[in-house]
Amino acid sequence: MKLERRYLAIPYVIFLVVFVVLPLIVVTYYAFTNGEGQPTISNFVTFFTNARTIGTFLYSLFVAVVTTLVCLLLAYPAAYILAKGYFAGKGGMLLLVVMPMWINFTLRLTALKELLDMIEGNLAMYPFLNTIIGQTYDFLPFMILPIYNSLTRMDHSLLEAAEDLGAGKASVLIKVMLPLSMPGIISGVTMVFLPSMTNYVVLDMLYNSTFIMGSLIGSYFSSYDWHNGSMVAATLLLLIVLITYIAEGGSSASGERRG
Amino acid sequence: MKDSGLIVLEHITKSYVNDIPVIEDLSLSIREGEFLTLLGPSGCGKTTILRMIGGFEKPDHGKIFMDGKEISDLPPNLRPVNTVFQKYALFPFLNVYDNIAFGLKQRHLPADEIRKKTEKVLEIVDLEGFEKRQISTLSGGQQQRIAIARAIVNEPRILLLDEPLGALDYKMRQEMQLELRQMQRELGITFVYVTHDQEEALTMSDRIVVLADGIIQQADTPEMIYRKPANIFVADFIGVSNIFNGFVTSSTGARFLEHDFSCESDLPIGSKIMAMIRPENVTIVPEESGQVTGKVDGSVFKGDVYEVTVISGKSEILAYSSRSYDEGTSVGINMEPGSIHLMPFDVSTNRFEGVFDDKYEVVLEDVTFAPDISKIIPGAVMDNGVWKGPDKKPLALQGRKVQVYFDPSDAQLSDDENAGIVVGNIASIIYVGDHYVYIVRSDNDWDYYVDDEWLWNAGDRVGVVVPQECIKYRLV
Repeated sequence: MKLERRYLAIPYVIFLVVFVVLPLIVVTYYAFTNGEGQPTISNFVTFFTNARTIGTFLYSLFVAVVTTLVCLLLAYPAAYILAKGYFAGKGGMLLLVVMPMWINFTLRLTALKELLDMIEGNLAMYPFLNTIIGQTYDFLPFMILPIYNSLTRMDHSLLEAAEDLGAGKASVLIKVMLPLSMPGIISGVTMVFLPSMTNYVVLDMLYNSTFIMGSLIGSYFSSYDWHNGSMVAATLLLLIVLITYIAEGGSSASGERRG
Repeated sequence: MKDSGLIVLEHITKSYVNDIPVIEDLSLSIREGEFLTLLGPSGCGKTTILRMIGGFEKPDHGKIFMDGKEISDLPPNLRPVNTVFQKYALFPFLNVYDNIAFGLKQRHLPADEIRKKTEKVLEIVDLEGFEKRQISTLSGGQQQRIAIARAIVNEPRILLLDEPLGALDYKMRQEMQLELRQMQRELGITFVYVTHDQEEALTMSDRIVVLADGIIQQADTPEMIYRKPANIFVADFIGVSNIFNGFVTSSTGARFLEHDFSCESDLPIGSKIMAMIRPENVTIVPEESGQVTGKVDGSVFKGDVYEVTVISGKSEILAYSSRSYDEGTSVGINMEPGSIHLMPFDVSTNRFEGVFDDKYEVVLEDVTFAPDISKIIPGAVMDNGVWKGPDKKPLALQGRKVQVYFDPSDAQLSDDENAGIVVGNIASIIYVGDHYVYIVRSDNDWDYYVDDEWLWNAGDRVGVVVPQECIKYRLV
């Protein structure tokens, strides 16, 4: 009997069920129950009424927004220069962008920590700045690559058409190039924003703080509070779904349709 | 001011890679209000010329003038020129209205003026009410019209069109040809139109510029281009033609196909010519009343006529006829006297410049020739491996430039790349009565002319075989 192609999906389906679907069900169950297994929404009520937890939430949000903006501002010109091929070794330059990702993440952060320590004298003096530097260092490639891809795939004649219609360099950039690279920007933003909201390793190492959503979840779980931990995780999940949904709506409206 | 054209190109040269010129010393004047078509096979440089007028490319040498003012270095956004791009290049993230209004907004016109102009131009291209439509919901023909609307709404002095109808189907293309022509007359805008489609060029243009290898072959009205092509390239590229080798016998006659035809030309008597006649001017008559006789080789139905091939001697003659003839029928051929066009025999001999190396050999491109030195320098003799002149002194030939030449009819093509003196790809094929004239382009972009009676395909990689004794040398 011939092996049908769809059987090839079986390993992945098993993986999906065990590591994605089941945990989601478990998380949802715990998020909406209390210690006695009774259904409740009190977990959510306490989260959104407690100044400490809501503060962590807002702070994480703020860190994520700033990180994303900084990444975007650094990545766009970098991606543009890479895509334009201003440097002879285009592949080499791209490799330099990707290469940091091959080095262990904590190792990189340790190195960064030493470096910042040397420059600033005392890490504790600029905790927020250090957090942003660390996060940007970590996530920048995830912003550069999708933007680079959208810029290299761009139809050059559209830029020429804009020039032809009287647009100067700045106008071409803002009115044509930016909208055309929107799909890349959006996928970059989703790849940077969400992880930087929950990544607690950077904060832990550069700030000695646990003042971020990731560590909040961790602290609940390590004190065996499955219900509140699940509730925070579920809340973040909802936020992620929401942001992705909005971003995809924007991306399909502005991006070109490919037949 | 030397030239009163709206756009004047003066001695333009442009190359992209390896300094192989795409455009070579090209001068052209475009008159205000005309519909000018740049016509040529792909790679002839027509799009490059258009892009230089648009400002997307800068000439390496030469100048571009508009209204007598030099604009060679002006960026596209500062030129009163608009372009309709090959694949329309409409902005996918804007709707029809915003696409058309793009140029007007750049000029900061008041909103209601933009609205009025946009509506008017949508009327011109017959797409009223399409303002809010997304580009991706439009058909190819509609996108084409929007692209034209987006360009003409800016009221440019010149509209550049880069094969704008290439992506449309046949019927749509014919419709758009007429519409574009009409639009151009009504708006009075100068159109510069690029195409490789000769039918399109003949239908639409006031003037056609035929290009090949970055050089203007002929610039004239469609009728003149068709009736009086300047050379065999133009004759072969435009329409279907019969071309025969012959020579001028008098001021009112020429001999080819072993018959004296009456035709007028101001070419010197006795000079070699190529005679061109279109198949529609060739009539098939009973054998006894023909100027030339031959046997029918076949008839092909073309819809409105039969294309009949007649073999006369070694030559092949194409004629259009309202009826078909059976293969092998003996027929006579008559040529309408007024429609025979004579062109100077311009397939030049192959002439190249080489240099002597230290072994009495001539180096040309990557090829070395071993000429008989005694034929180049009369009286030279070989003495102990050293060539000596008539004065018995050794000849200092190393580094001397020498012309190497051979006649195309002495050369032959071979599919063995190493059989010949040089290897290259066939760049052009022209049928002239009883044989083909080939241009073989070597990897270094040198052109070799070869006459061969067998049919090869364009692009074939071939060796050019020339017998040693047919290669001639001359010291420079």
